[in-house]
Amino acid sequence: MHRSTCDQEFSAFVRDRRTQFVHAARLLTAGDAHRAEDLVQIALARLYVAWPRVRGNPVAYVHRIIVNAHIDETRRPRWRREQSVSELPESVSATGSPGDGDDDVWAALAALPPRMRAAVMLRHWLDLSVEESAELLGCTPGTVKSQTAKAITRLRGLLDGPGPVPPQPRIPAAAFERTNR
Amino acid sequence: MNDVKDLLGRALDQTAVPDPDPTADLARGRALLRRRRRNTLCGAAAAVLVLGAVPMVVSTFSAGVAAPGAARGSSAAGTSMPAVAMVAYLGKQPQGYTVKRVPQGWVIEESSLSALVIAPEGGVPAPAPPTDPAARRVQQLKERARAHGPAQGSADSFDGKLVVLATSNDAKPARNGEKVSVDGQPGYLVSEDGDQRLTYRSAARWVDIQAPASLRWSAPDIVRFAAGITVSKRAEDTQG
Repeated sequence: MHRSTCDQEFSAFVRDRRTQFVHAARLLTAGDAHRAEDLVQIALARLYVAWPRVRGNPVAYVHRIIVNAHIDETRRPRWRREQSVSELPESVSATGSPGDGDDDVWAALAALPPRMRAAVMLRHWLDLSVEESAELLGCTPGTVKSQTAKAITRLRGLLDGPGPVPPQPRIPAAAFERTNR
Repeated sequence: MNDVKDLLGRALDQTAVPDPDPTADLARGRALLRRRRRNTLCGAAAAVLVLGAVPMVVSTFSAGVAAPGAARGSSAAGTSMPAVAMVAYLGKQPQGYTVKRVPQGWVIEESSLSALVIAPEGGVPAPAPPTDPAARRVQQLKERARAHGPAQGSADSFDGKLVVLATSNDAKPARNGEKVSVDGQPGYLVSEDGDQRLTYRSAARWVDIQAPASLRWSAPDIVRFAAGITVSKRAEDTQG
């Protein structure tokens, strides 16, 4: 396949779909626009290289790269950027009505572990099936179901609950000290 | 919170996304394609060089003049510098982990129940800025990503250090990269920007090891180091 044809197809695809990818990435990164843009840039650059091979289903390919890159960089020690605190910011429940306002949604999403956030995004934003989500996440359908259910319960507790219900971080405080400056 | 999709959509409605312009993505894609093609050519050239160097290495070893300690052939990164050798660890064992071997000249910088950090004695040297524009762009992206994190080279940073982290029982590691075996247990080795990350099963949990490019370790080196690590039951999970 000629490169110029690839370029035209790729450009048209980016024009049509880029905004959707940025939205998905922003949900994954809990509203961090810079990280979301980085994820999309990485995914689209790799898509360009793989275009002749994946042009039949490029959307799934991009989603896979975005999700994997997001999870990978949160797993990698030197890229770990989770801003961890022992308690959620007061703004989640102390300002305005609980669950009211977009900052609350972002803060609640940020309180979820990366894979749990990815499960919510895949299932509830992209409307992927359990099986499709499991394939993208590299886990079993049962794990997707449980992660999604736990995530929804946590989100409900954070956004609709009567008071602050900060989930305890799974990473011990000592591990956060080095990234939490 | 009746509908999660509505909730997520409400948050996204307030975020401004510029109109998609494929020009920059196209340029990044072309640059990546060029780098891949160049690396492929460089890899082929390096293979030719290595094959040519084998007889020389064999003759050196047969003459018994191998340098003690460090030099052990070509490194994983394909550079002319030898890999940093491993020596037996004789100091006090850290909490959470038992260590058999460490890189020569490296010390345990931090040992807690959540992380084992091994660094060069005297600190991690500052990396030279890349000359290639594409590499500079990658570094800029990473620096921007690290803007809210610890400074590179500081005691709070993992950059350039050998790090061991135990993950939780239910963590599902990405099963990509080169498959390896650590004491008969499955492991996956991923290399990126010269750094390597080994994820392997140890007892009832998964363990992550980050080996920086400065060690110039090959896959067997990292596996050997991992085989000398024992994660105690007291070690705490670092991710879920």
